[in-house]
Amino acid sequence: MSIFPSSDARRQRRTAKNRDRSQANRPQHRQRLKQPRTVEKPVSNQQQKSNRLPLLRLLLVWSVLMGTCVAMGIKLYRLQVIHAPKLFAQARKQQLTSIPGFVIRRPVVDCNQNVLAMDRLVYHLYARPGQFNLSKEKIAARLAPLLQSSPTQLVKRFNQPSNSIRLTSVVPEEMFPQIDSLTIDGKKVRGLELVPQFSRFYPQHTLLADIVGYVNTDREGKAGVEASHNQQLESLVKPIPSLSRDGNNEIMSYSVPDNFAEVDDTRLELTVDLRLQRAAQAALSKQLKAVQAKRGSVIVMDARDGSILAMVDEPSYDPNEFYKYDFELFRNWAISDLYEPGSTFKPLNVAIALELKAIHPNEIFPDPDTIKIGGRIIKNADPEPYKELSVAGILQHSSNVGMVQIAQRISPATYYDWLKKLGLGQSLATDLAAVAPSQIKSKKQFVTYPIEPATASFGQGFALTPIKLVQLHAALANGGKLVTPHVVRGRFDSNGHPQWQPTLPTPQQVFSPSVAKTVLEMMETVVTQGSGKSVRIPGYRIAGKTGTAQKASARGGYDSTAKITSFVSILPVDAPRYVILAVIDEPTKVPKGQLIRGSTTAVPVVKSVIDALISTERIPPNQPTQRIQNSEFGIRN
Amino acid sequence: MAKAPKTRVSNRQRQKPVPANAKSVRSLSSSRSAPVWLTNLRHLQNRCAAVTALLVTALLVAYGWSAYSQSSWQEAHSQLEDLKKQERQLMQKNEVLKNDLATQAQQPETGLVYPSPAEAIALEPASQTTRAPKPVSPATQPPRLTSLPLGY
Repeated sequence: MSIFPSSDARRQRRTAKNRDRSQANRPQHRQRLKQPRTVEKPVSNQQQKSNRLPLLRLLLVWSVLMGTCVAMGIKLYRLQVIHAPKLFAQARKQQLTSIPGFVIRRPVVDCNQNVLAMDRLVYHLYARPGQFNLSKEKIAARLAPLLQSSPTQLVKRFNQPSNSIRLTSVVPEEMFPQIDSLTIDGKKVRGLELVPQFSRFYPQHTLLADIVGYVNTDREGKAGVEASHNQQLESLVKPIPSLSRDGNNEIMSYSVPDNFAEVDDTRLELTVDLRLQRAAQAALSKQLKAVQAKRGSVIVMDARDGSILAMVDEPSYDPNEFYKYDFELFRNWAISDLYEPGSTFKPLNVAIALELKAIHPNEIFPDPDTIKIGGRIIKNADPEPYKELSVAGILQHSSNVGMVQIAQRISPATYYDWLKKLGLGQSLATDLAAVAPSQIKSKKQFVTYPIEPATASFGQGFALTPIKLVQLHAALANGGKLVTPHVVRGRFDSNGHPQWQPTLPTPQQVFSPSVAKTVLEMMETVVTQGSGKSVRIPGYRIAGKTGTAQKASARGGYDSTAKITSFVSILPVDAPRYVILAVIDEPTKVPKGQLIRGSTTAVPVVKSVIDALISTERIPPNQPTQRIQNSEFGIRN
Repeated sequence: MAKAPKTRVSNRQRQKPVPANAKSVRSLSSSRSAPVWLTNLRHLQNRCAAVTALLVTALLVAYGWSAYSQSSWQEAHSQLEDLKKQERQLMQKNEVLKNDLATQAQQPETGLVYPSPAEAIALEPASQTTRAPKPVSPATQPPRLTSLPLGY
């Protein structure tokens, strides 16, 4: 309906006015002559009033609308101009959130992608007894089974005079909902707080502690790969300073940075084989119990490139609970403790002599039981009246007297330089943390006193780490090159693309391939005819050398009872690849009728490891002992 | 013959007869054209209405799309977080389970032994003899199709 009066009404009003005017001016007699016609009713006052109403209504509505607009404008001005900064800050405070930057540690995996170390989300559980809305006993009774604790113990802890008591720091992620929404008698428990934190988890517990290491409470790598490759393991999740959230506390998509959903899927891959590590650890711990030894170590290395397939130290520690163990155990004995290698060093001395052409491989040496050097008498470990020994025989019977005679063929200065060339007295280049440098006496002392080169000839008078000895034997296996022992293969993404790989120094050639081959074949006779007989496996050509060395005493000189026994093995001789070393520190018990020697203590460990190695690496026998006739399977060639 | 008496006729009466309501009714042309400015204004109003309708539609579509994309992003984000959590837990449980199995297998009562080379079977690789392709015999030809199915 229009609010304006209609044109009809206007017309009516106009005609009415005109009619009134003409009737007023017209004389009376004329009116009588006029023909009768229909005359419209005159407009009443009421009608005139009603015609004025729409205008009033219009004004009223307009003023209401305009008033409202003005009021809203004033309100808008107050909100958008006067109180704007305060309201803006208040709104930002409510809507914005920030994600602080934090560091996650990448997983560590073995060569078969078994996870050896990973980050898991755990919750620190704090109790604030002052905020409890239920009795301490009731809460303790409900919490105790979840925390694997007793209610009385929990109540005791609740009664401690503290506002905030940390009940546990390892509430697993899957238990979070149970504790977070803990209700008793229909009431939600107040006064419990769960604080999330990433924690390092080692699924194999003690098995790889000496390689992987541990992370302390400040999430810093403190031993093993965790320490040596801290930079490769740490992945910084950048902080996001301003993220908008909606009413449901959900993140608004427009406020997130471009790389918000990016996931770091890289893993640090080791050269270690978990299966071999497990077999080596089982063999070593079993043998340590049997011989009642102080400690032991096993290293398996690929001689071609220096990659370590297994490295076990016993006793070890659980990196998940490192704080429960003696600090001494955190040291990887195989890389950080020095020992005098004894007879396992003899093949290397033979290689030096062959390299210098001081001896001939087929040369025969007299082997009396004793030999006098610089006023001191050197004896063979096992007095046997051998008349003569070949160079291979010296190794087979581990003759000290024979080795002294070989050393006498070399000038002490040249011999010393060769020992230095092999890296004695220097630190070993490796990616392992805290590798101790080997020790050797000064050149002056070595050259001056004839006893020094004589004792060095059978592996005493200098000290090295088990890993160094493995590196030296690997040189005999790979054709004379000093490779770099390493445990890290690189950092790879989930598709196997390398993101980072270590750059290893070029292997240094120390022995000629022919000398290395000759010595290796001599070492094979140690297994076939000598002290390493018990390691033989039908169908496989295995080389080895036993070692039994006296331990240096803290008071100077050598301890008459404490021995360190070892056995080093290389296989297969026809295509040398693997070097296995087992070292046993202070074995005290051997079966009746046997002596504490490398052959009786360390060889069984190496035998078990070789068995596992053949299975895991699928090493084919050189001379197959069990040939399957194809006809048995009905195969016709 | 008598003449009709003459009636006096006024000059006004002699004039052309005029309709009675000639002065009271003014004819209005029904087809009086509106002014140009009004026509233009009307056109402008029509166009503005159409543009407004389009803008309102576009606004609704844009608002709907932004609300939908936001909710679907949030859904995807929570799914991603959930997957991350699942991956963590799966990785952890898988390794724990593997380790438990390996530890149990080492117990003597399980009767399990480590694989040994003595029990391994070594097969020599088959000789690389090139075989002549077999001649196609009638037996290798595809079977003839029968119209009746076979029941077993």
